[in-house]
Amino acid sequence: MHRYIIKRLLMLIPVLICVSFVIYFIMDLAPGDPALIIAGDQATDEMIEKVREDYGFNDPLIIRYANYMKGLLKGDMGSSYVSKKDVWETYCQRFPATAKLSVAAIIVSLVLSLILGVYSAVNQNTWKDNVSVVLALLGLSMPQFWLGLLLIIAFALNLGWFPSGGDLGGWRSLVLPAITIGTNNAALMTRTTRSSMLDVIRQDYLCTARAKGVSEKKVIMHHALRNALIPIITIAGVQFAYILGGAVLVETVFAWPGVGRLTVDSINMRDIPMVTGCVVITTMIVCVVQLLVDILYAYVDPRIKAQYTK
Amino acid sequence: MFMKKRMKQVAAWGLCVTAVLGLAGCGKPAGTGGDSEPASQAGTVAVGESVTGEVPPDDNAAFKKELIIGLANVFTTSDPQNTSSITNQIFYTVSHSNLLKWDYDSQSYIPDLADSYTVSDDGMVYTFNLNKNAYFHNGEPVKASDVIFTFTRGEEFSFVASKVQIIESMKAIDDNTLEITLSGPSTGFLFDITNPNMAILSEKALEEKGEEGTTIGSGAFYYENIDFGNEVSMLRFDKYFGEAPKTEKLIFRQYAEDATRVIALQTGDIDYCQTPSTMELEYIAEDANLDLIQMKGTRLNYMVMNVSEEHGAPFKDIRVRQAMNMAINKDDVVAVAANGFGEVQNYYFTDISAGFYGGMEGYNYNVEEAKKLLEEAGYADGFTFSVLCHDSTSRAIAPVLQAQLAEVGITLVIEEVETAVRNSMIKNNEHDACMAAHVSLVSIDNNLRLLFYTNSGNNRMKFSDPEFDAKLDAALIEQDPEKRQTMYDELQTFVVDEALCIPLYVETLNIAKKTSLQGIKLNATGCHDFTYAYMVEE
Repeated sequence: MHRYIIKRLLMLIPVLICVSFVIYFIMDLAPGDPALIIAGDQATDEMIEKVREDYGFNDPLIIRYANYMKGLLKGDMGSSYVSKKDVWETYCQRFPATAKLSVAAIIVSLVLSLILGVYSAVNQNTWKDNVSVVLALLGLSMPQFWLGLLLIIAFALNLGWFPSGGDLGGWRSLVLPAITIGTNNAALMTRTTRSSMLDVIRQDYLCTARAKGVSEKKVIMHHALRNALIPIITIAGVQFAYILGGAVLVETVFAWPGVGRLTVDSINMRDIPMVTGCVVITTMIVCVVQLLVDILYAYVDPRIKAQYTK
Repeated sequence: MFMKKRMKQVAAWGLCVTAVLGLAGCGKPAGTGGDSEPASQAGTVAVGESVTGEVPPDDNAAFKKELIIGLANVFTTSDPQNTSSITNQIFYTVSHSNLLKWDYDSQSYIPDLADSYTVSDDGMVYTFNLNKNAYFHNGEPVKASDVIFTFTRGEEFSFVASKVQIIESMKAIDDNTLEITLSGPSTGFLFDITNPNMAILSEKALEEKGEEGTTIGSGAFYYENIDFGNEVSMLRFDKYFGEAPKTEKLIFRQYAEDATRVIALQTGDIDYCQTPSTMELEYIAEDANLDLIQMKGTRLNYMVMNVSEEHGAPFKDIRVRQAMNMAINKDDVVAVAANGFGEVQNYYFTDISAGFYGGMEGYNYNVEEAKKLLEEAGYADGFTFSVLCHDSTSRAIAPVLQAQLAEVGITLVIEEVETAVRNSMIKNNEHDACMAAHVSLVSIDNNLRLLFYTNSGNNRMKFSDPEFDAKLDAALIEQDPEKRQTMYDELQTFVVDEALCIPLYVETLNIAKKTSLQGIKLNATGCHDFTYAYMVEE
């Protein structure tokens, strides 16, 4: 198991090198001169040229990338072209809000999807199943920004239960954005839970359990759900990693100070160190989350644990 | 039969969910006035005035400790010298001080860090006496050497370089007396030093902290926490040399989404809402707890035509440019692109600028005359050109222009690009035309210089006329006020007659705030001063 974890962590190195190079390359190809952005639109040609020289924009791409990687190895991700603040520091300032929102949203997704998915599978082809499917479709097809605004109007403006936006500390400001993201993700996870449960429900060992007199509740929750969990965990892991990368629309609607907005704002301003830094750190986090998901498989399914041990 | 029943049940469930969300969304907002309560009226104020109808607080009044200001745009840098963004400048107004301030009410300079100043008879030597009680947020006194350091540092920044290039030398007579000698007399120098770009920085703070030292100013509030692009909090500076503010803490929070920003104001999450969307104004006006203030802004939206030699036809020909100006019905542009919240404009600057000339006619809507001019210029069948659009305003305006120009046979191709791409294309002279906006500056010289002087940063039309440049330089050093004004009048008339751009409209500045929020010094540029904003504790 330990060897597997170390192997996966080592695999992070080529992944990070590839990702950082690709993002560096894309940002270089993107139209828009960063020197002009740094110097300001009232800058003279001499000023712009000085910026190019100072920031090394006249060097070939590969040299600039090598310099960036050299800094990265020393733990220096550079400074923002715009705010002049350290990239790592800026990212760390935003990450707690994103992490908080991601965890809350995935909890909402899991709770909703497990309840609806299991309920739907157990009542397959009944009106209860159809209602669950309709709700899942509704969640999937509602644009997040629209649902977010609707929730703000309903629960912040009219009922006054929650704040309208911003991370004000405490759980109340977390509720509406978490529901917005969670509902959307829950839709996909509900369908996965339902189909995974349907596969398991037809297995002979469940009939055996029933024949042995195990209660229906225990059959479903203990025997069926546990065996149906692998695809659900897979989807949940992917969704969690996706939210950690930043839910830009929801962050915008709820004025949530996450890394998604930071990344998009930086892209618009051609802030190459900030964009590269955000993408590299997010890639690292996503890889670690995927590794955790793989480790979780082992605890859910002993057969997988045995494979890891081999 | 069974299927029908099942369908009904499914439909009922669907309706229930929709109804719950719908009912919650359509009810009366918590904390807003009912039908019987009088709705607050949209107020109109003049440039630089405090909000009308404000009553000074009682001497014994207790004030709310914290004010929350909801911004539409992001705070991107704490360095006053490295930006021209109005949103950024709102921060510097409270965190930093200049030598002098421009007072819109009295149209004169008022002391800021400089208690007083004298000018030599030849208009070239300025002596400033600094306030002895002025301190930076790091506890250091503001010295003449800090001013010298600030202006010298500014030479590296495009927004400041143009303002300090006229300075020949600076000398600290003592810690509180500064002598600045100009390379020639300039009527624009004092205007320039009131600009937020010219806020005084602490030499010691920058030496010790590097770029972060730019956060240290000598204004009424100091930065407590900065999260760029999200939230900034500021605390009252007890050693501020001016009158102490009533509020202890200012929080600036960005709400990028227009609807959320207005809702945040309605729910009380924020006390002030920057530039509410015109679609939301009726909700604000109906709310008894809120004030909607509307004032004529200074931000002109216009279309730039590339008139450079390198670019050549068709905009090189003045008749084409005149025809373009005459083909546009600006009332329609305001109605469609700005939902009616704007004032049609035939020239480039507004009366906020000292030296503004209002006697110009410009070009009015006249399709027949436009067609005639195009025919004379050899474009009877029209031509095709592309216009760069980079923001929501330009994307709203361009389709209207496209439809109107089509009536005279001109095909306008809308090219949507990001701001960074647009600026690069303009810098490299790769554009036919572009949409742009200009916020009128205090000095008419600065306006003319910024937009029309050869190679100036905002000369997006790439206009170059040595004679115009020479006349502008001559006006700057002219010491006879009447003669100088005549020179500026002629220059303003010249650029309008040349039809170098198509001025469209000046945006109405909408401001939404809680009724109880008082003391904001409004500014038609949008750079409002929150130093003395307060709310009386109920």
